[in-house]
Amino acid sequence: MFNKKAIGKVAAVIIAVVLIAAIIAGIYYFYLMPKGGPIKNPNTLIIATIGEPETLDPAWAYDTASGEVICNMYDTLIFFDREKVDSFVPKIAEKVPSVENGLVKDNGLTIIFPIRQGIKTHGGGTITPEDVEYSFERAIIQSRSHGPIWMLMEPLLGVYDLSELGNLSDPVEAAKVGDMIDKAVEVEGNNVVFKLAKPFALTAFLQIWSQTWASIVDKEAAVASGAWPGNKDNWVEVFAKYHDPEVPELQEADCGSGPFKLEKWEHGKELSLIRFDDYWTGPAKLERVVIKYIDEWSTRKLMFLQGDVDLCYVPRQYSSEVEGAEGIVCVKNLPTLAVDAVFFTFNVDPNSPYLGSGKLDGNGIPPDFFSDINLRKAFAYSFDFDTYIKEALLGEAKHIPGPIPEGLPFFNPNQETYKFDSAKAEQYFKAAWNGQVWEKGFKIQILYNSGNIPRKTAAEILKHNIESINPKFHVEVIEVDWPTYLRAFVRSQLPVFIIGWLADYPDPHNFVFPFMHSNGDYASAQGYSNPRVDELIEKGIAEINPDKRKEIYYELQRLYFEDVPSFIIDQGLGRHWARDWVKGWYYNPIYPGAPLSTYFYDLWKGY
Amino acid sequence: MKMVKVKGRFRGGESPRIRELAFILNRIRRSPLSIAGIIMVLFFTFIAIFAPVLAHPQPNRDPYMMPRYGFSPIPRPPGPDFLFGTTEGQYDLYYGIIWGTRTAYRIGVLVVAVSMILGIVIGSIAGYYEGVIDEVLMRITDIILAFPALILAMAFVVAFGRGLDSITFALILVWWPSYARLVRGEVLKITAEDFVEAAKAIGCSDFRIMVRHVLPNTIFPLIVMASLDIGSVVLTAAALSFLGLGAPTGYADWGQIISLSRNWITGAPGNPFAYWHTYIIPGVFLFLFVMGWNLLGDALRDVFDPMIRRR
Amino acid sequence: MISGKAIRSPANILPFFFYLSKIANPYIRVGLQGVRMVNNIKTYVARRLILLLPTVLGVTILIFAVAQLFDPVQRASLYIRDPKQLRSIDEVIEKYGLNQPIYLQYFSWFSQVLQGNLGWSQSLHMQVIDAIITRFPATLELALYAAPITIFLGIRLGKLSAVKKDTLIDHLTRAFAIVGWSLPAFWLGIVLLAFFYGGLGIFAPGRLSPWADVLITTGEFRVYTGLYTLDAILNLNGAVFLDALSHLILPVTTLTIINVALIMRIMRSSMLEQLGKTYIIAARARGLDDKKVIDKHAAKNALIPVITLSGLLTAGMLSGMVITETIFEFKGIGYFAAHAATQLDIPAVLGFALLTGIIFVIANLIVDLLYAYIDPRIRLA
Repeated sequence: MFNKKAIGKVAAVIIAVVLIAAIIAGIYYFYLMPKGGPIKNPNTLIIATIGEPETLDPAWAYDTASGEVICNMYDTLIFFDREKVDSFVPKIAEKVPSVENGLVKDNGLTIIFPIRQGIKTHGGGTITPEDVEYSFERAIIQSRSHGPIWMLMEPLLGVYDLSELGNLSDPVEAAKVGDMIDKAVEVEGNNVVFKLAKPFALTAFLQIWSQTWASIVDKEAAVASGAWPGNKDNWVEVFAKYHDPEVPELQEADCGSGPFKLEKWEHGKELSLIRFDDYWTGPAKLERVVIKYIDEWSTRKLMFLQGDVDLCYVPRQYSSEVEGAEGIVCVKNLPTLAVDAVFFTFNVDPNSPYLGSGKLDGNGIPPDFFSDINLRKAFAYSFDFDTYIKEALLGEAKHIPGPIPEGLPFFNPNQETYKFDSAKAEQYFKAAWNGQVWEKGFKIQILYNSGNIPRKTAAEILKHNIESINPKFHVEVIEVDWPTYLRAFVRSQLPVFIIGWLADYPDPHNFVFPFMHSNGDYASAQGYSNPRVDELIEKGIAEINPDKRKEIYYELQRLYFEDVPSFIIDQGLGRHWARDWVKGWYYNPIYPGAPLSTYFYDLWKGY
Repeated sequence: MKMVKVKGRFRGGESPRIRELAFILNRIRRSPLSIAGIIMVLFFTFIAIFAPVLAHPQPNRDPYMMPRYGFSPIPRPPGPDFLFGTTEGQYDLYYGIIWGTRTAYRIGVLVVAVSMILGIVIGSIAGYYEGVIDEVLMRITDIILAFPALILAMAFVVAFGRGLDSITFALILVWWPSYARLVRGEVLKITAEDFVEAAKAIGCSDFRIMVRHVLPNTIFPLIVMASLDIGSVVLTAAALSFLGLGAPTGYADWGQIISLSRNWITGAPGNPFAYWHTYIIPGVFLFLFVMGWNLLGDALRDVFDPMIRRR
Repeated sequence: MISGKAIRSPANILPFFFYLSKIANPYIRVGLQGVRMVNNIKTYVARRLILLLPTVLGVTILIFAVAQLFDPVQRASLYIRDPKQLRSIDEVIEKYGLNQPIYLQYFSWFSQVLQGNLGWSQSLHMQVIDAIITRFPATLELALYAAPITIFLGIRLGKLSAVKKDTLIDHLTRAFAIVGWSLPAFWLGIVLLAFFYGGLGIFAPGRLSPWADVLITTGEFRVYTGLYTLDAILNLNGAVFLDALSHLILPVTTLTIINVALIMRIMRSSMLEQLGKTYIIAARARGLDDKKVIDKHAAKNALIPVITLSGLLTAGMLSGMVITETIFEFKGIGYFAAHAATQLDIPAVLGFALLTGIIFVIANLIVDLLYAYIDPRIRLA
């Protein structure tokens, strides 16, 4: 017993000493952050970001997390020329088609891609024109309902969904549709020829063809993974088996020819890519790229500061936590292709729970409240753009006049736009609904999706300013989860909603369509329809001549200001955060991983 | 029940209840941790009652929503303007802490009280009637105990909207089984006793037996458990807030406030404790609240449990 | 603690069973009755296992009932994550059968389960069964270390506290335990991480360091169970073993600090109850060695309620601890269940509920068996 006591006491003393030493050491090291020392993991690039890829099937992937990986596993026919969004370099194709070199014919309805010889695939084969034809046909056959292939189908087939072409379960119609798909992409010798259904601006076409959904897959590898075998005889069966499946066949497969191969994908944890040594322009400098999916900011940050992570996604509001730390570099003010706007619903569902009393009696709003343009203008003049950008986005955004972001062709920097002006807002409020709005007041609810703080802030700024104009105006800001938000949105129940759009491809059409065309995702939910606008948009995408396009898009930006179906509150400016030993990075806003990373082929680690 | 007061100075003459009280107070006085617990609980009760005085609510605004002074995400340290500083998004931390006490009591007391009542009803029925009823009820409690509480909470939040009501509802649904189990166990023990048999023999109705004989003897373990659970409920609600399920952002709820500090705990370069106030202050309050109730619960057990005392 | 010999007996590999053997050891001598008991045990176990089915099914039915709260559009939000996908919401609802009556959905799910197919998890982008198999080892490893340590420490501290009641040691241990219990888990986790990893650069988050990860990827290190410490032993790789162990230190410490009070408190009150019993007083009065009285008699009997709680605690840990897993990058089933639930990924949630239901029932079963083993009154009832 005596021994035990003594041992116990000694142990206690030792433990106490160790603890105190640890505490002292900790405080000491806390104030001495690790310096830019030897490069950790010199041949491996480690990226820490949130979320994870949905799939590795190029025809299925629509999210940027998937895109970022697929972009490096697969090659496309052409690709963006480094930083540029409207200039291209050939990849699997030998030349970039243009009118000048004769590869664009028939007024833009025929586009020819000569295919490079000898490009090897990860599985040991080579890329042939048949692989190219297969890639596109397969993608169109699959065209999952909420996927990206509508972008291929719009120019090639003139529709957004295969079902628009015919009944896919009827043998006769299915065969017709299959035939149309077949004819849209054909192999002629060493070339692959695309036949468009309607004229389509060439730049936009090339931009779509440079992205992951236009990836070239190795047919043998794909078929081996269970994809469509390429048969064109029994179209009903083909569509039944391969159209809009529940799970894509190439979910975790690697049928690519890109500079990196899939090494391992641990769902929810990390994905690692390994260098493909037989890449046709030579092996990449990096041996391995590991993308870690770490949702917890504090954990990510600590790893970044320790050098265990080379590129880190830093949410804007936490920039001050890493700014200026040793060994960390930051590139600021990178114009993204993301815009946010406040939208009005012209005809809200009368059953909407967000209308209050549903009448213009001071306790709610009528369903067609925003069909009066005076109200829309009043709201637009009530928004304090500068405060919003300064406070909610830390100054890292631009106030642009229309849906077309700066950096895209045909952006009009001189377009008149809305600014914060209480006097004007008051004037328009008084004019709204023949003065009734001013007299009776109203009560309105603005919803935002949980977790989106800038949108919450925007709503609160609107609330604050509107309520100070007239005490009878009541604005309530409510937080809801995505499922509820989605439901309200889909049923046109939100009188006002704040939502953003990230470019699919860097062409103005991709922005004006959802915002302004009566069939666009947002405009149709709003119930906004202006036939002149629709006409212009349809002309704009079919116009080949850039000068004529400029005219059209300038006019559209003007109409946006006049009609004010919505008003843009910001175009975000991004930041790139990296360890100082990461080299070779450049910024291309359309790249799926931007501004965090870029095409891995161009990156290496060194001093 | 009338007490026959015997006038006299010797201790044996005082009524049993006063003697009991004196004994309890004496025991509590001898245990510094119990005293600490009681003081802490009184402190928080005081704050909760006087919240509107200690932190004036803004007019035309839900008093449980923290006032906001700006939109910048960077928390400001305590200073002359803000006693406790501000959180991410510039919410007044002092206000949030004060009104958060009320929120803590609301959630804690509500969940525990309702769970207790539900648990008593179901547990006593199960324990008293035994047999098939007991089996079925116990299976149901099994199912609920096996049910992942987090998922239930998430489902409620998405379905009924973000807010403490959804959380309270979900927590009640998963909390009552433990009370039911406890009550059932105690009731089983008591109903085996002779005096219950006697009461039955006389012809007392089941209800009367349960309410007047069985339940009063089962009450003490329940009280102890309840006092401990108040702290646990508040902690669980805080954890749910941390996961983004609790009160809406800006609500005066300690868990919500701490979850706002989540991304600032690691500080700024060169100054790891730059935002200490965002997590230390609410953390301390939360922890003292829970600890106070825990100590109180322990004190109650030490004092009331007939097995432990009287040695 | 129970008997000097037991403490020095060689430890088995799995700490949990090591601890169990410490309890059971002295009773094995006594329990030749155990031979007779085996037959009773068999029927007892069989009966309990049969009862497992309705409980677990009950949980799944409850989940479907809860899913009733959502309408098809809300359920479609699992697939429509971005405004760009909005135009096809009706097709999505059709495609995934989200507008079918709830009982039809349940039956189709159930029949799939009977065929061994737990469905596809959209939020995790993999088969539910694969998700469970790949995710469970992380949680299992964490629980395997955290639970026994917590239980062991809790019992020790509880005993100490009870024996030295109302002394400084009692107050200190109780205070320490309650402080731990009152701390929010996420708060403690991040602070520990910031201090040790942020400050000292040791104990990185995650289960393994990058160099060890590479070994696994290239196949040099073979993963047998998914429990990296165990696998390291099976691979005879000491470096990976130490690496995995060092990554376990912080999360296990966090869990222990928070949960030790739970066990300690029960042990303490249970011990106090035993120490107040007349037989103890009698033994002490007879002059028996106080240590023996405490250890052999009071502590043993005090363990009974502790066992229940320990069982619940272990089951709870095995069901995943979202917060610890999130902060320390130890993504196990807790993290993924939460992830699936927030996105209304019903198949994944059901899969996890099945798993946790089974864990819970088995834990209960083990606890009841231990009860019956230890307490003759219960066994012979």
